[in-house]
Amino acid sequence: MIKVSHLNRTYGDYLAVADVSFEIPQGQIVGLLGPNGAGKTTLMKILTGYHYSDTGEAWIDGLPLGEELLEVQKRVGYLPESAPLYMDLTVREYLEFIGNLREVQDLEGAITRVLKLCALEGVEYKSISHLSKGFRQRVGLAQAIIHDPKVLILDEPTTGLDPNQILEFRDLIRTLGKEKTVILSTHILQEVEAICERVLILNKGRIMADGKADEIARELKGSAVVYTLQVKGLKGSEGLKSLSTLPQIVGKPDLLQDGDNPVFKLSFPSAVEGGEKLFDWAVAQNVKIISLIPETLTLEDVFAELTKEVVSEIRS
Amino acid sequence: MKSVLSLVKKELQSSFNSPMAYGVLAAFLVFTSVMFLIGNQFIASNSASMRGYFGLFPLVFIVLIPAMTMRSWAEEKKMGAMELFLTLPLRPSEMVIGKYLGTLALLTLLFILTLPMTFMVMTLGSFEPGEIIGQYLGLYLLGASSLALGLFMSALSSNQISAFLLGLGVMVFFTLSGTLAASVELPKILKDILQFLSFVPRFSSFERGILDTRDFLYFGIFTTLFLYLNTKVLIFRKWR
Repeated sequence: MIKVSHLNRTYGDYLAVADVSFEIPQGQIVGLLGPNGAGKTTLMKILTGYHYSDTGEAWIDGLPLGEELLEVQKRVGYLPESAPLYMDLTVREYLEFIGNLREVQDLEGAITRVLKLCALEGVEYKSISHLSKGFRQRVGLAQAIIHDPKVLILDEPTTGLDPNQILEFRDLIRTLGKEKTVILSTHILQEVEAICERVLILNKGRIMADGKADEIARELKGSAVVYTLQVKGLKGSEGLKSLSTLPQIVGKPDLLQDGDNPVFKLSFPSAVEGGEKLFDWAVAQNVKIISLIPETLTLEDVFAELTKEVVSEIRS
Repeated sequence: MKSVLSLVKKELQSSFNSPMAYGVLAAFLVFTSVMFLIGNQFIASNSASMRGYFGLFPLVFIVLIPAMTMRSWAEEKKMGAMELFLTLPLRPSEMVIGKYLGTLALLTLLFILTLPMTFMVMTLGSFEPGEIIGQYLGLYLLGASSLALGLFMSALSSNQISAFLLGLGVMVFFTLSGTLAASVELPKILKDILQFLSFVPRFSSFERGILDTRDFLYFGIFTTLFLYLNTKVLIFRKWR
């Protein structure tokens, strides 16, 4: 549904999007994740035709973005960051305006549909300037879907909403994502974990990772399992020494905290081996395990890792 | 075409849902009427002529036109609405024409609202209807051209205030350059250029009841040029 090939875009000397390529099939919800200035918004602006790309090509629904821009724009619904609304208009006037410009056939029906979907029925005749942030955001989404687009592009759709509104909004996006291709940008990791089937991690205009959130995490840390181990009954330095002689241990163990109950960090190729070996070791050394925590890499960690330049170099 | 019409509709809705349109209309009508009837000593002068009334318009337009156009593009940009606007399936020319016709509709309404004054004065003396029509036509063309200029200035600005001031500046230039050329010692070529560019000599011939093709061409080209430049500004934004 969306195909992007070697897109580049610079603002002066600043490289906003660098050689970005990806493909998104129909009906997928994709999260664009990245720190501020990573190029998420620029990428979206290019896909919506608000900005041109310097080089590279993109197709939406098989149509090239350059030559068929108007046709592409008919198929795309866009909610820019901080929903741009006309404060002087009422919700209905606004939706009528956008619907007319988008040449919606049964406008009355479409308005009824989006008002219901976005839970805006009560404020239909209110001036947008009198609405709260949450309502305005919903009006923004309503205009983005009024023409029933195949592709929905949402730039940080939940920014500025309260926790309840965020949950409602995510439900709404999930519902829409059943039939539409959705790209949404965010720097909130939970959001991606909650609604996106796939995540593209951007940093400094480049795609650092592409895939399912948990797959990326697994790939990044390898199959090794990292344990945090706290024991009672031996000194930190002794522990390090004997732990490092354990068969199958990956790398060298670290001493995180010394004292009566030292804390170590160590890795094993798999959870089964690691657990077994550590219990045997504790019995042999006559020490007591206070805690043994296998570490799971969260999206937060993935994100932190990927957006550090060093890691990107190691991986590539 | 349909999209242009819905743009016009939205412009009018925006204007009339806020105090802006009412303020502009009321200020214009009250100011011109008061200036004409009292400032111009219409009653004391004991001669029924519309010259004094219509003669006020070009000067009032210097302020009125920028006030009408300052919001259009500048406000869209400030609200971030430009971002959505430019991603709608519209050609830049459709956007510009829609905006333009929206403000032109407001100007048309304003002219209609001056009719009572005109009819009132007409009952007081004998008038050539042709002269009155010529004056209206000249003023309307002048206003319509100025709107294109004002819209362009708004497209160049990032907020209403700078759009207004920029509009005011160029309106002063185009309105008064002819007068300036006539009263200051300048090289002939410069005088001719200023005279040529100015609105007022064009309007004056309409005011005298002379319909000259060159004047129509002047206003036509002027309007087209600035609307065209306006579309270029919109396209240029995509490269920014």
